[in-house]
Amino acid sequence: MRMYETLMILHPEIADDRIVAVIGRMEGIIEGAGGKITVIDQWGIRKLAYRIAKQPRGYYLLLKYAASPTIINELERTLKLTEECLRFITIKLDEEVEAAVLAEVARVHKKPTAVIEEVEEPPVPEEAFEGEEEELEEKAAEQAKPDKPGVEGEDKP
Amino acid sequence: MNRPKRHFQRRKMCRFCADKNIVLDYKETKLLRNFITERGKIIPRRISGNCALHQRGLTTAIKRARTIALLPFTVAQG
Repeated sequence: MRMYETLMILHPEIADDRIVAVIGRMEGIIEGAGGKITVIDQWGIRKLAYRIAKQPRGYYLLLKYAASPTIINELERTLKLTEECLRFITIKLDEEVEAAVLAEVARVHKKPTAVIEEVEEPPVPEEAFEGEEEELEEKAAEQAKPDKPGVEGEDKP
Repeated sequence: MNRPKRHFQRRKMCRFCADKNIVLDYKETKLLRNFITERGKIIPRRISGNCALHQRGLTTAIKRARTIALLPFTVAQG
């Protein structure tokens, strides 16, 4: 069994019980096929970088689980048909995980505490890099000049 | 007219090689934002100073984050 992780965006305006229903459906598929969910992390509502389905915000839900590769297709197909789910991405984390090690891992279920607003850190301005390229070229040109007098100075006995 | 081609001294070390504990995860938007420009473009390796291996990992992480709307594809200017 391999470790996977699925991050999905649910519609922000759905009721809590529908979110629980979606989680329940995922549990049903994964555990029904003999997998095990290790982490359910509900990030809560978060501002999206671009509009999805005309919504500026989305409800993020993260699932980490161990499963056999065959059920991933079914999981993704179900997610596509789920109308609450707007987008999802499934990533493989680890290769084989021993069943014995898995049995000891308890499930972690994190619930959201507050609405997360993405803190806008000042992004790196693009002009800085274009300027830097010119700086690098200028530096190289400058290095060409002091080389000659320096070398001649060392040669003098 | 033939100026010998100069290779610039690489001023920066790859910060992922320096600190092996940083994991390149597409969910870590705070870390990834340091490597995209204002317009959302990925910063080239010769500017950021990353080594090839980590630049590839970084690019995959940024592209994944973009598909799941954690990072923008492009930001309109002005």
